[in-house]
Amino acid sequence: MITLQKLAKVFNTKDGAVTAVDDIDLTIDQGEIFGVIGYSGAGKSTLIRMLNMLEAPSEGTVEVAGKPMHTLKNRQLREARQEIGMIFQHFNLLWSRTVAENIAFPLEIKGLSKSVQKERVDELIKLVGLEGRGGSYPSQLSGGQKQRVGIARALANNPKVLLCDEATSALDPKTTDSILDLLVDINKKLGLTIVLITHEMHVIRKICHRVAVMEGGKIVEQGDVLDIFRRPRQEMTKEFVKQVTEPEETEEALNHLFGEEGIGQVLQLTFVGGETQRPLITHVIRQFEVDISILQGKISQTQHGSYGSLYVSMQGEKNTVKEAVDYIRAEQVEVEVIHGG
Amino acid sequence: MDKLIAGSALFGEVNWENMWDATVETLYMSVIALLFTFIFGIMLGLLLFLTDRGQLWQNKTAHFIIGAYVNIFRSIPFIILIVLLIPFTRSVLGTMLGPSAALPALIIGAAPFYARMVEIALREIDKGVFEASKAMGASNGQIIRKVLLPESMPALVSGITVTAIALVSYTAMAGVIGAGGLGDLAFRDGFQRNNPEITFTATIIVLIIVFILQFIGDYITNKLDKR
Repeated sequence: MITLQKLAKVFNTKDGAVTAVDDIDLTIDQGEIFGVIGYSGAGKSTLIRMLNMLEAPSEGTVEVAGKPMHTLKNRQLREARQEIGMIFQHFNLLWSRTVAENIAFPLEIKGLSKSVQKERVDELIKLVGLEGRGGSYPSQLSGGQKQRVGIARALANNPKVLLCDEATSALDPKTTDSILDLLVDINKKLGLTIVLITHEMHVIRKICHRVAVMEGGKIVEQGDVLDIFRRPRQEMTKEFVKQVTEPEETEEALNHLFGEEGIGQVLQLTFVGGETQRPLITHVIRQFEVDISILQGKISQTQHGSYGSLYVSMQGEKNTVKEAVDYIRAEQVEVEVIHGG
Repeated sequence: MDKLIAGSALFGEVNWENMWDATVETLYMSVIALLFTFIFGIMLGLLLFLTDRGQLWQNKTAHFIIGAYVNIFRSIPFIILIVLLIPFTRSVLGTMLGPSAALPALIIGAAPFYARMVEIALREIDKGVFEASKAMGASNGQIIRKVLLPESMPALVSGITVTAIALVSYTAMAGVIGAGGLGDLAFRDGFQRNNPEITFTATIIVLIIVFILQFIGDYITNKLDKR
């Protein structure tokens, strides 16, 4: 659906050339929700803007829905853009238009008749759950409702791809979740390919099938979301994974425990998919002469199944503990000794 | 009864028929000039904005020329502009008499003034809205008609209100070239013939016109502003 080859963008600034996107190759499949995560300045914003040519690439090629975007000009480019919807962090609605008029805007651009516009607008208002608000102005809506208008507007011309530029970064956690649910719903209902950029791993975990991690204009790691959570290889990726698996207080609580006597070995166990439902700890205690106390645990859902992490301290004979750890590893559970190894 | 006599004595020197004619002349000059100022001002302001760096029709030379024109004509004191434009007005209208003769100077003086306000109004529009429109595949013409003008309309209207009030005061100066109007009446009949009542009455009428303009402008601005 989307193929990027040797894509690069260099900005000429007063302080010299700045490479925002550096030689990126990427393929995104039809019907996939693909996430790009990175801190600000990583180049993800420039990257997503090159998909619909809001930024022209310095080098490389961009193919979206079979069209070589980088070669299109004027009319052809405008027509190609009508097949790519986009939503924004700050919604970018026209405040002088009502909700219904905002949603009709791309239909007007395409030159559809008023009656067709009205019919389509009604459908979209229903799809995003804004029944009865068609006559309101954006200033009368909450942030979440504004983003729903943005989504309806982006979907108006039945695009093949939806680009989300930090679409939930200006929303509170609860509203973020409802918008993410809506995106998943649309992805399933319409088979729409969604590309989103974010700095929140929570967003990736909740809705993405695959993820790419960006740093300094390059993609440093990419893969299935579950794999990335299970085995993050790059430091940058580990940091992002920690956002979800390790709330700040975990680290504090653990550091506090490390100071105490007889804490034994502290292990971080990472479960993926069906493994989260097995009574692994029970098995370990039955088979090995060890004492286990559970320090902290958490299970998170991803699009491809659940993902859990469990912090335990294990006490016992050194060899027995080692055997127990080996046993856990043999059960396909990731084990990291974080204290007393 | 006493009051009424005192009242009629106070305004005894006022020729109400002349005053009415002068009011009509002032309104005629202001309204026609305002109409053209609105059209030319928006065109100039749009050009000024669109030719600027990073905008749709980015063009350094055009931006410089329009900017220079706007700045020059905005800076010339109106009374001097009228005199400078006498040959131009004569060649366009064939005469220098009557309220119409003031129109070229009024429009040429006020349009650049309004153009700056239009440019400022357009600059206020959120950049993200342009980006969204482009992403939806809008052409430049569509962006101008469907985004730029409607989104800046409240500021455009409050700008034209300020310009309208400036125009009313410009018409007073247009009297020097024989354009008539309340300013002319106040100067010739009131000041030169030493009839302060006439000056006073003309002033009151100008103030009423200004208040009405301001009220209408504020009303429309509030109606349009959905932010």
